[in-house]
Amino acid sequence: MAITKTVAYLAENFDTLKDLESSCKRDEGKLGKLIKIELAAMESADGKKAVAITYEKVTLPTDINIGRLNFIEFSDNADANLKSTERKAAGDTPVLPGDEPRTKVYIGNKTVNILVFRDKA
Amino acid sequence: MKITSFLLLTSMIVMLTGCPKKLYSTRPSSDLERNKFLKQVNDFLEDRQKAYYCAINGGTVTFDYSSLKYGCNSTAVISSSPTPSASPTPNTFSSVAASTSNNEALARRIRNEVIEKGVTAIDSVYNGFIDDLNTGRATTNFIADVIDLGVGAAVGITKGERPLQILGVALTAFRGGRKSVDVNFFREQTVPILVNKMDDNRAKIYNEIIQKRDNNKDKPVTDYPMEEVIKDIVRYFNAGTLIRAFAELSKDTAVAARNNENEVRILKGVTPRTVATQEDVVTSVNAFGVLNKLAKEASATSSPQSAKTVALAKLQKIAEAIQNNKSITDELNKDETLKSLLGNLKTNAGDGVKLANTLNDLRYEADGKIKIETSKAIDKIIIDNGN
Repeated sequence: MAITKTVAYLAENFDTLKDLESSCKRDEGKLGKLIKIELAAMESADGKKAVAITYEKVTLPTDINIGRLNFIEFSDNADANLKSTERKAAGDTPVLPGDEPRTKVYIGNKTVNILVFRDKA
Repeated sequence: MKITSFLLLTSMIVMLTGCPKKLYSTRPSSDLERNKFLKQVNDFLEDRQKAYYCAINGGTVTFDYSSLKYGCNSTAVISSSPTPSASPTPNTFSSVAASTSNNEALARRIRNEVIEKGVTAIDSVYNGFIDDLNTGRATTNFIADVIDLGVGAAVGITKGERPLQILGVALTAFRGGRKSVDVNFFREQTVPILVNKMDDNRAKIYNEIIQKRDNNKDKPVTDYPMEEVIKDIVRYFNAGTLIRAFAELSKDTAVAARNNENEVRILKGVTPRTVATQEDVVTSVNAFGVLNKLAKEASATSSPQSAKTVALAKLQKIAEAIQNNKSITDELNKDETLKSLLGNLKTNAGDGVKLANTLNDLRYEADGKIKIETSKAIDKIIIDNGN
């Protein structure tokens, strides 16, 4: 059974999507493969908005390109389809389940729609 | 001045909304007596409100049986007992004062009468309206603007009367809410859904009214004053309109959509992560990369033995450097799991893949348990000794 760990990223600490992406890259390096991104509220911080990210521990050696994540913001369905197609054409791997690795994250006081891909190894 | 205001108001409404259609198309018919429901309600509320104030302010309350209206002699004290006065006028009684508690009881009785009769009258027109809806008679001309026109004019004409002002205020707020209602939305709803929503809206308001009335039985009548009762009666009327049903349905749909899209996980006992610097990213990802590369080299069947030996030697060097760093081991030994993994570095020293995985486990388990500086020091040891 896979071993997972879920960690929190408090929205108010992140000014840009890049900040969150970098933090996830760092944490993949320690915790393993990013498998899930969820909108969250921190009970220990008065219900403040956060992003909950779950990592799955990997066994070495692995071919997963750990730490090579790309968070790509999109505006609407058409934009998401376009950006997703570009990434797939470049050989990048969708990180989240489903046809398109779409999810939402809180950044500062905004909710941002993103695609999550992993660079081709 | 009043005429000018009325004409100005009427012309503005007509220019803004076009010609008015039938009022009964979107709301309960105001037709208790030839489309004079609003006026009747307002007259009733005005009369009862005056009597209520008369009672709580120590006046003499009278009742005319022919017009079914109260009167008030503000100089006399009053009683809640409907005892005929010493010299009653025909069809009239005046209540004679006895004590403050009687004033209170009379005011309460008038207030409760407003609730009972107001609710009954509104129920009556609502039932007729539902019958019309079910038979399709009231859904043909859906023009929300008629509500504004009807009520706007009524308020304009009788400006200054308290009940009408309240109706005016309530329906003005109602008008603001209407903007969010898409006419097309109506076409997508079936009559039973709309009726259910109106019934639901009305039941909520009715329960509130009854609770407020009953919860205040033993409290001063001013705890649920007449102004609030009138406001609630107007809300009760509005709750049984199509417009309110649309607004509530829109709200329900919007909330449901938000819940689906933005399901939020509640995190308990989790410490938020810091924002990573570029150096943090490079150190962490490179340390993982070094361990993974060494594990690959140590495990590959195609690799020459020398490459495996080199990989194992590098992993052993990393393990030794960690074990020999007192500040690191002091911190790792504080936690039983980390202490155990530290011991496994020795146990697995002869197997490159196992050793790489033990180092990886150590980094995984240590995350969040040891100082960030210590964690970085371990990564640095891995990078420096593994390349």
